[in-house]
Amino acid sequence: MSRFNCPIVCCAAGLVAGLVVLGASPGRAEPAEAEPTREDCIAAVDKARALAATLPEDDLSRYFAERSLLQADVEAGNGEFDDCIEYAERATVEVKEHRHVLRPGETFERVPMKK
Amino acid sequence: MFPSSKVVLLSAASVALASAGTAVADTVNNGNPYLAGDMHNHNTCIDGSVAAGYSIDRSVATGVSPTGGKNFNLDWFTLGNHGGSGNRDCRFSDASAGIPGDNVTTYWNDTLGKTIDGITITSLKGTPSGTGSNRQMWHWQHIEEMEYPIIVQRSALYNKVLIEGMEWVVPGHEHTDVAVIAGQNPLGIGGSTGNANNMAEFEFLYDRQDNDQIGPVDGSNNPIWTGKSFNNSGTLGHAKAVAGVQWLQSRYPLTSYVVPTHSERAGAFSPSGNGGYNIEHFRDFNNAGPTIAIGIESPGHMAQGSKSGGSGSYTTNAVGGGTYGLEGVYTAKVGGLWDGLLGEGRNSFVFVSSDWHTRGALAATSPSTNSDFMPGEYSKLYVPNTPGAVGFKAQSIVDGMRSGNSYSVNADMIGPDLVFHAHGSDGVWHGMGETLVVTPGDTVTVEMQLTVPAGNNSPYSFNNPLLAQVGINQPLNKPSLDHVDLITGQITGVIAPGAPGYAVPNFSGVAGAAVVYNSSTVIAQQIQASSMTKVVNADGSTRLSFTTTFVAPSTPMYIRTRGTNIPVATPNVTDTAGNPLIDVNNANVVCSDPACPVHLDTDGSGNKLVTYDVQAWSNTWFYANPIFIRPAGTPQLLVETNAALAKTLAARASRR
Repeated sequence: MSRFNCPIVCCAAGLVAGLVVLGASPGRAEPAEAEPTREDCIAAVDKARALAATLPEDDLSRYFAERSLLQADVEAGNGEFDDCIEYAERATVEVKEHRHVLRPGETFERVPMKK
Repeated sequence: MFPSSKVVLLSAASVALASAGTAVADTVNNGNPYLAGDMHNHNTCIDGSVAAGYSIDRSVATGVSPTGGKNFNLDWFTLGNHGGSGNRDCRFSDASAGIPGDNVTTYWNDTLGKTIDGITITSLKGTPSGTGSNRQMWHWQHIEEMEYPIIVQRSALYNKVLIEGMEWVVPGHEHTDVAVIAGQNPLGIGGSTGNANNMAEFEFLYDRQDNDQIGPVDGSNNPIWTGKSFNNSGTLGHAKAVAGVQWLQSRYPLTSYVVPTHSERAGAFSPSGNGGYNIEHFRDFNNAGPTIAIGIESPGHMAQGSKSGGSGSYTTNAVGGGTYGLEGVYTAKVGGLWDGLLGEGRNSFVFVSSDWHTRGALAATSPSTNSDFMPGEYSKLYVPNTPGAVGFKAQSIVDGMRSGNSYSVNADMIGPDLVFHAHGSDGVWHGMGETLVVTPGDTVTVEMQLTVPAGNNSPYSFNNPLLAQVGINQPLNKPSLDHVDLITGQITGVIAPGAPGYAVPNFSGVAGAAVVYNSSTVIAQQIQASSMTKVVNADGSTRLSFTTTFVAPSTPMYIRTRGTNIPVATPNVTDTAGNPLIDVNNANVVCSDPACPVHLDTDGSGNKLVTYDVQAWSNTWFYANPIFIRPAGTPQLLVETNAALAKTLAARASRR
């Protein structure tokens, strides 16, 4: 059996300080950003798809990027344009940083791409 | 021509429907004190990758799916798709899921008027949206005519508790898990299988993605559901959201819940757009829905952590800039937003679910993923079992969540029999969500018992690369516990709306992690697993237990607990106090075992990094809800008065 002291005593001063800080500027929020539109999404996906196409067809990073773009299409089909753009950005980063490579002897089972 | 799997599913559904009339009051469960479930997951009705029925099958069935892939045998399941609309027929999986026999994406435009799996959709109702393969079905119609009938079919097939819920796309905000169980009776206990129309009505009226202006109509073509507002963003949107919570509270105070999810993801609240949640919004919700707006769900998408972050689907714009131990910073930070709510004595509890959409670059049948885990595969929300004459049912889940007697586990690091309770001088135990009334100066005893299972669902048997840094060899498919934290904080009372401290400045990015909402919160004690009483069970699992004491306080407080497999000060994972670091740091660690999978991100030299599902299986945590403690003679806490309100409402309902 072990024991610890009641933490309330040792932290009372910290609590008071915290409340003072929290009360300093209530209600502040960050400025709004524009909501992405379907057009924004389509443009982002088209751009990322073109970038992916610069890699050879059998390149693993191209495959990973195109899988992200499939999900971007799905999000667009459901009106989730912010998520669509997020998946397009992932695809872009995948290609630019070439994050996936097969070492000698390694294999990866790809899901057939929807055409 | 439809995929051959449709024939199989139709047969299964027919069997299920035939047996529906013989369903018994008690549903299948294993007799455990807590039952595991998931309340946040998706299918092709909205933006998931698999059919609605397939998603349920993989989540609650046992054994292996006929088309490949392990099933996860959850005890209960709540379907939680987004509001809005979708263009795909969710009796079918998306081609991208790569499921044998169900690999052609099918749109509503292809199937109208056809009976498939015993369900016929004759028309797309409400305001027409989209053309051709982009023709949309509004989600309220999904709920009524597609998802709920599938829930009915699968309920009978598995004799488990299945609920039709949703992920509310909240006006002015990120998303929120909601379910309205009133009217649902998918097992047909005592008669009709009911309907999910109440859930659908809420979706139509309050979801910001649902822009349908019509909804269902009566025989004279007049809309049945009226009063919809289209103020969907910013401060006006928040007001609509609060009205939605009030709508639920007034109609379904005991048969619904409202739990914001991945609530850090969209950053701080935006007064003129759609952003995240600040603490004042949680407070507004709880004030508007004292028996239904009961906490926070930590993010799912646990396998999305790349070398630039992304676990939980959190970008660097999220409050906190990412996840911490696969949790959002609101719950992971000691003294964070959750502690701010608990510091008021609010009934605010933490929950976890999968947010299952897709396996990313892999097939749905693959044991690996670089996106999401399926329900029951990685995250489990445990609610109390209610065996006996009444049996475990949908109401048990809602009651269990509301009570606070629940806990959330990743990677099966603990099992379904957690004991976490405390007593004072009277020796009467009080558990999670309950309030222990003490005499200041008395001894308070806290006891914890937990089981570390022998295995989990990880497909990887190589050693945990994060633990290898500190010389620990622990296979990823063998759960382990390093220590638990007992975390305490003071309760200083409810802050009134508009009073100082009610609204707190909040920030996107790592700056958001610096905000302290309850500075009295501390890790009061850290108990090493090696110091606990240990019993090895016949199945290879390990039962651990300990008891500790402290002096009863003179002011109210709470005590909560979390546990992890990661030792204090593990490089790139935890700080010197044992708090989780931002998870993108995990990717600084190389996964060097020859079995490390190909889908991991690599560095510039081709080394595989601790990312995606390997990161999730390596960095594991559980969170349990708090026990509240107050001195005798002090006013009841809000958690007590709201529990009393629920009890009063239940008594009133039982007299009707």
